[in-house]
Amino acid sequence: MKKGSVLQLLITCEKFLDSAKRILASKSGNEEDLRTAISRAYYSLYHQTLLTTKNRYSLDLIDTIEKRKKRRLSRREETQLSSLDSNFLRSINLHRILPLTLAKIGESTKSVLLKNYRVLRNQADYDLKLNFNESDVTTYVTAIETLFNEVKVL
Amino acid sequence: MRVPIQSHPTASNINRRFEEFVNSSAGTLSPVYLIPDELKPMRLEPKFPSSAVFGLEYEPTILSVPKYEISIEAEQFISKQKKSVYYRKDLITISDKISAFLKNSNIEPIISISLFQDPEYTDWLESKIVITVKDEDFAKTYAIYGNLLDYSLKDIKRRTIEKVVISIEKR
Repeated sequence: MKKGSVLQLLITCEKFLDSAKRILASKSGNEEDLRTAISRAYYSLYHQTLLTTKNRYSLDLIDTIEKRKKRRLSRREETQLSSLDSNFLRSINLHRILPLTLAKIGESTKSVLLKNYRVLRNQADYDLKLNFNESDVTTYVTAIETLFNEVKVL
Repeated sequence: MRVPIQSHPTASNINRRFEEFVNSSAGTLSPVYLIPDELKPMRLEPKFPSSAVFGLEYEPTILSVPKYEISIEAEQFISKQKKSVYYRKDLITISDKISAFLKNSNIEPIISISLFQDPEYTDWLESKIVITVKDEDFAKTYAIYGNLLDYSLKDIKRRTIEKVVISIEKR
C-alpha cells in the first residue's frame, strides 16, 4: 500500500476538529494553543466542505473552478479538472472556490459563514495584535463545528 | 375704471385685477354677489417655496447621509465592481437587515464596511461587513449567527453574496 493511502485512512476531517476540541479541553490557556485550535477547526471545515462538494456537487465545483480560472485550460488541465485530480486542485485557491460553490448550490448562509471562519483563521495565524481568550475560542470552535455538521449532510 | 392690460398676467395681477373690477362701478353693478361661492373664481394665491428668498425655486434636497462607515478602500473596491450601484445597494440592505435583526434580539450593533484581503491570496478581495457588538453580547450574537445570515441574505443576489464577508467583532 502506498504511503499516501495509509495517510488517507488515518486522518479525517473529524480528527482535525477533535484536535481543536482537545486543545480547548486541555485548558492550557496559552494563546498559541487557542490560535491553533481555531486553525485546526477551520481546516476540518475546509476539508469537509471539499469532500462534500467533490462527492455530491462535483459539477458545480468544476463549473466554479472553470469560471474562476483567468486563462484557458490546457487539455491536460481539463482532464485533471474533470476528474477533480488532487494535484490539480492544490494549484487552485479552494478557500475561495468552496464558498463560491456553496453559493452556487443555493447555500448562501453557509457560504458566508465559511468565509468568515477563513477570516478568523487568518487572524489566528497572521494577526499578532489581536488577543484570543478561551471563552471566545470556545464560541468560535462551537460555531465551526455546527457548520461542519451541516455541511456533512448537505 | 380702466384696468391696465398686462402682457404677462401673474397670479397677483389677476387677483388685483379681479378686485379692481369688483370694486369698480361695473363690478358693483355686476351680479357677482349672486354667484354661489363654489362657482366664484378662485383666489389665486401665489405659492413660493420658503427658499425663494435665496433665489432657489425648490427646497434644497438633503443628500442621503451615509448610514454606515465605509472605508476608502472598500469604497474604491465597490466602485470598481460591475453594476456597482446595485452591489452597494445590496451591501446597505444587508447591513440594514443585520441591524434590524440584532436590535430585535436586544443587541445594539455598530456596523461598518471595510475591505477584506486574504493574506495568502492577495488578489482575493471582498467587501467586509463588520458587526461590532458589546463584549457581553458577543457569544449571544454568535449563537444566532446562522439565523441572522438567513434573514439578512434572503433575496440578495448571488453576485453580491460571492463578494461579501460578514464578521462579528467585539467593542
